[in-house]
Order: sequence, then C-alpha cells, then structure tokens
Amino acid sequence: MFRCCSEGETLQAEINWFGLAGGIAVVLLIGVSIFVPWWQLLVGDSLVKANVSPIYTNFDFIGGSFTIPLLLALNISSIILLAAGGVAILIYSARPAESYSRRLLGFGYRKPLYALILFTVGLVAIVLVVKSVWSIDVPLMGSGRTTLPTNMTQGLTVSVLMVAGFQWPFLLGLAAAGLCIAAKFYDNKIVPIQKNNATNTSTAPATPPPAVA
Amino acid sequence: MNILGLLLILINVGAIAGPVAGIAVVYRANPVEMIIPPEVEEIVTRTIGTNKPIELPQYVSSNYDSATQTVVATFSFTNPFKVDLRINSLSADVECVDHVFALGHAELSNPVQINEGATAMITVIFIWTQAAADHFVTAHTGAATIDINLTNLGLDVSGITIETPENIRVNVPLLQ
Repeated sequence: MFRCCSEGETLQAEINWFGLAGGIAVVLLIGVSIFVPWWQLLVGDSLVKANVSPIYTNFDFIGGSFTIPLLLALNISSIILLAAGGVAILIYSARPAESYSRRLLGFGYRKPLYALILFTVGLVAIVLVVKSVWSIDVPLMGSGRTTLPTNMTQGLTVSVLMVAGFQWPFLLGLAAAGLCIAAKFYDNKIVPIQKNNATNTSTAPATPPPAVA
Repeated sequence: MNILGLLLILINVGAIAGPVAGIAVVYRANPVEMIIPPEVEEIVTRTIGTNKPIELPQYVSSNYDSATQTVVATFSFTNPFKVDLRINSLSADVECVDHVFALGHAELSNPVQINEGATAMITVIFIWTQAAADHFVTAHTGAATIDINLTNLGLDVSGITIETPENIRVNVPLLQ
C-alpha cells in the first residue's frame, strides 16, 4: 500500500492513507457516538445513568431522560468541528499535493486530538468538582461504593454503588486521533518528494540530448 | 490570507459561538435552565414527588417453627415512588424490647421486586440463638408473645444501601 522511495524512484503515493483512514474514523466516530457514549456512569441498579461524550451527552434519572442545554450546545459544536475536520482530512488525503491541502490538513488533524483532550480534562474536572463540593466520590473507571453526606440524607446512612468506565468509542477516538497525527507526519514525507518529482518532471528534457561526436 | 483560510477560521469560530449563542438566546429569560433544565424538576416531581408519606415496612404476620427455632416474619411495603424498586437485601439485629437483650439476626429470605405504587410482601427470616431461647424461658415464662425491636436496619434497594437508626418494633408469637 505504501511505497517507499529510494533516490531516483518515482513515488506513487498520491493518497495519504493515514489521512484517509483517520478521516473515515472521525466520520465513523461521530456516527457511533450518538448512540454509544465515550464514558458511562451507572448509579445503583441503573437508577441514574450518565452517558457522556463530546458528541452527545444525556442523563437517565429514575426512568426519565434529559440533556443539559449548555452541554448540548457544546456537543453540537463538537459535531460541527469534528465533521469539518474529518471532511477536511478526507479531501486532503485524496489530493495531498494540492496547494490548499496543507491548510486542510492543518485544520483537520488536530480536531480529534482536541476533542479527546478536552473531553478527558472536562471529565476529570467534573469528578473533582463533585468530590470537593458534595464530597461524593465518582469513579472514573471501575466501581465504587460512596456514602452520601448525611446532610443530604436526613440522618440516614445512604451509600450508592457507582460503576463507571470508558466505552469503545473512546478507543475509536484515540485511534482516529492517532491516525490523523500519523497523517500529518506522513504528509511531511510524501509531499516534498512529490513536489520534487513534479519539479524534476517539468525541468527534465523530453528526449535525451544527442550524443556529441 | 486566501478564501479557504478565512472559511476555516469562520468554521472554527462559528461552530463554537453559534450553538452557545443559540442556547443563550433560547434560555435568555431563565439562564439557570441552561445548566439545570426544567425536565429535571419534572422527573423529580413525577418519580419522587409524592403526597403520600414514606412509611417503613408494616408488620403483617409471623410463623414460628420450634424445631428449627426459626421465625418467618412477613412485612408489607408500599412503593411510594413512580419507579420500580428491587429490595436486594435486608438485615437487622433483633433484640428484646423489655430487656434490651440481643436475640439474633434477621435477614431477607429472597430479593423482592416492587413495581411503582405497588405493595409487596417482604419475608424476613430470623433464627433464635440458644441464648435467646434461654432468655424466653427465664425472662418471658408463660408469655404468648414478645415485643422485639429490629435495630441497625440495613436495606439494599436497587443498589442503594440505606442504614437507618430507626427501630421497627414487632410483636411476635412465642411458643414455649
């Protein structure tokens, strides 16, 4: 699939395959994240459920489902940015040597990485805020039983089982981010060579010069 | 700067500013609802909000098996919430009310599913200890019934564990 070039050999890699795979992964990521969260928290026997991702976040609370409007707005922002980034990467990957391609690559390759970083940092921040404000330990991964503060439980000792974990779309996000970064590095290898090849082709004589007697 | 660069910058800015501004406009009358939507209050009212007081399980009846020194007590509990509950476990220490004498330990026989608004029977099994049997002979000779307290009551309801300092007082038959 990838052809390495020794000096003087023509490079045929007109497609940045890392970028193509990264772009497809980003588009796929947007699609699946609507249905499967990146991170899920279950409280009790699913009495409370939090489905969190940069694409869609909702909460199930004792049988009722709701979203937080501000998070919904940020989710829409993420969808637009990731979709734009994915399309940009795909267009770039098809024609990496075009003059506009570098700009598309620069726009697109960081988007999944930013989504991952902001999502993880935001999640950790929320867990820390919940712990410091309400003294409730919410696990990021795995399960744990936490005791609610007694001022919230009218003197009763109430402890709840919480199970949390990252879901497979989070791993898909990691893969998409990795592929997009790989596309950036691969671009540094193929584009200069292609440009050199183009330069050589334009300056090379069509026929060999006649031999001088 | 070419048109493409400008377009990409506009996408970056617009993708973030657009939805956030849209939500801010929609909720301009009550910005708090951007973070705590009205659906939360509706759900709480619909599921937890109830005019009925939440009552502890009510004692219904009990049977005593002298051969195994086992009391099987039945309690009724009405689920006041508009959500199905499952009592996974129940445990309590049992003591004589008159003499504050530890008689043993009681536990739920089987998990109980209680649908929203429904009343279910909860069966609790209590095995007398030999010390309890001796206590009945020495301190409750000839008594037909005995008042017992279920103390240190612990419940696991749908994965939520509740421990209450409140005691449940029950009068159970005493066959000697």
